Amino acid sequence: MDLKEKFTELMRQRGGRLTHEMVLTPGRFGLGQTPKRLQPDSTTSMICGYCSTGCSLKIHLKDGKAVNLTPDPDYPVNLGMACPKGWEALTPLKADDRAVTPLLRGGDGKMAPVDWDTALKVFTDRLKAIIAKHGPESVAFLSTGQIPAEEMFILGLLSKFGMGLIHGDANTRQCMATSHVAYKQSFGFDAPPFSYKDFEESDVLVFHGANPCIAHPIMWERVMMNKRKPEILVVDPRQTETALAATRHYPLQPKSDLPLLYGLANILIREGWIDQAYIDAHTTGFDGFKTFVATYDPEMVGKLTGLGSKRLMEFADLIRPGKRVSHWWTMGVNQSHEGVRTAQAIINLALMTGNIGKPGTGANSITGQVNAMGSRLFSNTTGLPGGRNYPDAQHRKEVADILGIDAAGIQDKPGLAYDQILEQVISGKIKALWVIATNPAHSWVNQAEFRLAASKLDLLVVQDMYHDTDTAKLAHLVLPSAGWGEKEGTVINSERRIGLFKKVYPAPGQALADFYIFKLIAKYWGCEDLLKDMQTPEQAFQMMKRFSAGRPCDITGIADYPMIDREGGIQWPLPASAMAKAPSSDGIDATRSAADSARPAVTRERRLFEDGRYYHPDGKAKFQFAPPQPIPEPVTAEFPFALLTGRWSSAQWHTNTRTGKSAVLRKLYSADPLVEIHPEDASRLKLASGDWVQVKSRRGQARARAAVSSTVQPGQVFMPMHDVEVNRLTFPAFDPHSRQPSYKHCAVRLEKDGGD
Amino acid sequence: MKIKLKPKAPSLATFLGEGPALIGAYLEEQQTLTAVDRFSGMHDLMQDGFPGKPKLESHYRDLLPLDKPKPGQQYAFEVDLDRCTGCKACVTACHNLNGLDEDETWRSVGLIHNVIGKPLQQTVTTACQHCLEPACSHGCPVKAYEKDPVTGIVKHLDDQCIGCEYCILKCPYDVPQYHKGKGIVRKCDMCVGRLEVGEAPACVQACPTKAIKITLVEVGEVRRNHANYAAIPGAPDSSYTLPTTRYKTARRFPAGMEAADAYKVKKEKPHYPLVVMLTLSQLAAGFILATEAGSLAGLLPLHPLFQIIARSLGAFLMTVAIVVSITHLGRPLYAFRAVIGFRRSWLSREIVAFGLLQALAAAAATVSLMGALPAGFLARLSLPPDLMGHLIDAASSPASRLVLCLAAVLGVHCSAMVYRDTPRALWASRITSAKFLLTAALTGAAAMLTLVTAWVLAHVGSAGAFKDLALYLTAALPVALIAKLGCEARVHRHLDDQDPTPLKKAALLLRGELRLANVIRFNLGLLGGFLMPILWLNHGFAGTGADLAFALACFIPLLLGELAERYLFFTACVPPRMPGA
Repeated sequence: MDLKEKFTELMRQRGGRLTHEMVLTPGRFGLGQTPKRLQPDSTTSMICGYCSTGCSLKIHLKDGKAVNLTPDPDYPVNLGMACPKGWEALTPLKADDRAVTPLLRGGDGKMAPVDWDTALKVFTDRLKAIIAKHGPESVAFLSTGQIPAEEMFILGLLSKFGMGLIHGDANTRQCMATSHVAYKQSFGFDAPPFSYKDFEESDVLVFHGANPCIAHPIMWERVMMNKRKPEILVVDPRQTETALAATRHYPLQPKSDLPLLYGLANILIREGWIDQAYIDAHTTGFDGFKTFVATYDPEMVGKLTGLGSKRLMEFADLIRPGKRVSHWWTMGVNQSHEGVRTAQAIINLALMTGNIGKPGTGANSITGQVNAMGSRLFSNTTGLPGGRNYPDAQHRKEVADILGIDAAGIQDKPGLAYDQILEQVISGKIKALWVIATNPAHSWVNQAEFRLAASKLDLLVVQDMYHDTDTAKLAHLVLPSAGWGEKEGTVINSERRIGLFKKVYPAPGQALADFYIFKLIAKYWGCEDLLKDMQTPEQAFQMMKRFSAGRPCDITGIADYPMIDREGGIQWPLPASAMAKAPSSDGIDATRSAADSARPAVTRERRLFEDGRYYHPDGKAKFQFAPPQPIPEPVTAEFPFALLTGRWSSAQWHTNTRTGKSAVLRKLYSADPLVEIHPEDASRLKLASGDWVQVKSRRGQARARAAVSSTVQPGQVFMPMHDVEVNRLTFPAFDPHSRQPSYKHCAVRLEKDGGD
Repeated sequence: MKIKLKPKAPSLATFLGEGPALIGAYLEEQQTLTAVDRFSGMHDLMQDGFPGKPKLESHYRDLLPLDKPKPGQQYAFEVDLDRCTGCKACVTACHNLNGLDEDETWRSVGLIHNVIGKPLQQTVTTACQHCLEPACSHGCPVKAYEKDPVTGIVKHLDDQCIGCEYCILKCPYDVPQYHKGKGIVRKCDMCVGRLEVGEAPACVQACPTKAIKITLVEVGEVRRNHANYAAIPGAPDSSYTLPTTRYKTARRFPAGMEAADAYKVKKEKPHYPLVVMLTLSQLAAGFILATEAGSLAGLLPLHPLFQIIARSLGAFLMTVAIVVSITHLGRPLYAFRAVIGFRRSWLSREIVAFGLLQALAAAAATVSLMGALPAGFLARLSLPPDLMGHLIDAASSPASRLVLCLAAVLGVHCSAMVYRDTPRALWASRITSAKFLLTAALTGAAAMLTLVTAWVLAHVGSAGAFKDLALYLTAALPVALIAKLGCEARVHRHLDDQDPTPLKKAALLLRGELRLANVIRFNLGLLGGFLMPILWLNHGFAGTGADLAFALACFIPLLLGELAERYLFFTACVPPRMPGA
């Protein structure tokens, strides 16, 4: 380079170190270009660890360790797409508040690191002492829908059959219990019937209390792929993102959904818009239902819901037989004081119009957590593994036989539900609580109750990835867990698809997979024999298969993890009999030709009830119904606003313990708690957007910034659930059948807050 | 996966006990990454049929133009608002696929809504607009931006960047992002490397609803109808840069549609080095101006020592200002590159002008100093005695003094133009020039008063000669101050504006979050520029220590007041932006 060039380069440098850092290079493996700095030498796919959509993420590996990820283009769920949480899934693993050793609260009240041996001895010694003194009902656990099924499964076995506990529940009580019970009572088994393909194949999609644009963006992707120019109906008091993207929005009064659904049923019956042949062949209880809904005349329901009878008629006309109508619901229905009956009222609409078991139809519950569905089948909390029931002696015997234990030792009724466990903590009957991968100090309805309970405990053990969650801060003992990406196991998504978690990142410090923590507890407790055939998650999976045999959720046709991987996830059921004829059900063999291993052996997207046979002994579905109950905490002059809660952005997950660790995700949502309020109410209270407000309920208060918006109706306010303040306000009402808390309605008042 | 317990553990277990041995085995197992061994072989094999071909190609094929841009065309983003539901995957995909740093994002998603009337809200995704008249590029003092003549993509040359952040002040769309660790800005390049090989930009690839695509736009069309581009309620005026992103929608936005953050007022970054640099450079320029003009008018002592002190002080202040300004750069070592943007960038011109002023002032000070040295000393330097004489004469000649005055005014003018040439309403007016010149006048005059009173104090008996000067300057201070405060107070008129304009927000900030700083600023100004001069005038100029005290009591509050004013100049300046959350 001559002097002139050198000078030119010095004055105007076109390349160099900084430019090089940003260079893209062909990523291989079908990835397209990736940053050269992060070029993978291998890839593998695994299910995202947040929600129940169950997207597959392609992990970019360098020397076996994850360096980056992109959504998996081959997976039938997400087709190469992901929401921000998925894109940022690796970041929360690197947070500096990860729990890296067990922590024990000392005499000085401070948490101090201890080794695993000490922690496990403290755990077993103290719990055994409490049980010795107060009996097996004095210890309970609260688990999660966020860990793989194998971990839930051995936790269920260990706690109930090894440690002899009676009570254990999970945070799935807060999200899915209602659907679980609704399906079980209506269909005879907890069986969401759909496949995501149904989003694409509907003529009419009805979203009840669901906001997939924000809560399940990748499901919304599938809706957008629908080429049938569908009518999209949204039933929601708030004009959500989904309501705006829909063709019709029904902004009903909060908690008037059950009368609305009965009113619709009445119109359908009156107008003859029903599929009588289907009703006769495949259902029971229709006559009673017909009589019951006859009193729900459109005028009355139109008034009650605030929609008017005309819109009701229009709604009924859109969902009558003749078109493919699918109903979808989420937390607006589930988190209600009468969620089970509401979900069943939706199921009834699908049954009476024959819109089930066919493409683009169904009464479909969109699940919340990544493995809520695994919890529903295998957690051994509300039911015995394989969707069995505690009160059923035959079921108890089957379980005992598989495990080689005494059936007499199995409790004959389910343990207490979440709210009942906390009630008993407060009343002093339960002395120790073991919380696994959930954060009730933030998420529990009327949070103060959990905090009060925590203060009464002799021992609170929190097993979590982070040492500083709201709940871990209250703990006496913290056990450090490995997180998603640091361990193996299977999860089941909303459409019953079983997918894999893989180990692609080293856990920090001494954090261990929950699977190994449970195994160690079994060892220290002295009941490791119970789990002796389950040394690894995959061996536990083989045991889960045995529990599924002959049940509606039969997965005996799944050979092993590699088969799940190869098939792009596998929906249950897949009994061994179905696979007998399939050519490639053997385990993975890397020497097989690529073409062979790329060919799926199982039909990729399947729905249930195509034959019209349900799981009740008579093979029929049941119409379930009951009169609507009054709103538990109606608004009053003193507390004139109905507080609705829900998701705010697709960049936040639950209590934000993980998503809050990503700087990029933090940019995508408001740093301050927010309260949405209608302009009329705002002007009456002299509030402008951005003003600080005190939101007060009878139970507590929360400070939030006003977001003035006509997306909420006058008299209603909305707050995102991701801020810890919100559940200081919520009212502890529960569905009587599912014991699911009603997060979506309580009475509050607003006061302007002077501060800035 | 195998748990190495049974075969290996017995000896370990007998040694440690079974529990700890198991803990050890699990901890070891936990650190073993298994996915590659068990699964990746298969995944990689499955790619055999697609050597190098991106699997998402079929997803984005129809989101890219079929042809390369022809002359008169360029690439542009097109956003179908009706397909965007606000999932924000585009932001994270851009982040991951471009390997950005932890909190770095090149795309953002905002919200517009209709508050009164029919409820409506719409998310809006924005990245670089790849403008026809890229303000970032026009402002860059080192030509670190270039607009590709074929694709129209506005590219940033990372290694050329000196980290002055001026492009951030220039861009109305908040596109360039400063990277603290690297000391440079970076920005969206429309994934030009991907486009070159037929792949879609990260955001286009990642949008689940295919709301973002790349199109070819006719440059002439954009020029004619620029208002149709980046046309979102609340978006910045398109005439400034001629943006090319097209937002499509079948909806009609009602008149009340506005950015969800339209009423959000938050103070902006203070840029402390710039606060100090601007105030000091104006003090220096004002002082140089006072020195040269005062000497020219015969109002100042022509005593060589006084001239040396005054000129050295001016040069020194200017040097400090320049040093401070360099500390503001992310990569100060490359500051010298700033000369190459002279033709277009006011920042480059400012740097050159102040460089010139500093050089001239330093030269003048040096020559004055040499003139005062003993003859023998100069002789030892073996300079031709004639030359020295000429130089000394030249340095104190009216022409030199005029040149210095002009250079000082030019420097301050360039400074003001740096800010006037941005799309920020608080800055983009003649008021900025007035403010800067008045700062120079106020601080320069007060500093000169201080020097003169000190000089008089040191040379007892000469007070009478400078009484007039002191009187003029002291009387001028309140006048200049009122003018200055008047300039600053103008923004408060916008408090009653109907729309949440940047000026209204500035006024709101000055009354709200910045109230304290604003009160301090006005009080300091009134103290040093009004109260003290009046008291001093009342007291009379006697050439005593009291005069020096008065002078300092004017100068120090005035200087601090101007620093506070400059802090407010940055923190109250609300830029135009695309709608935020």
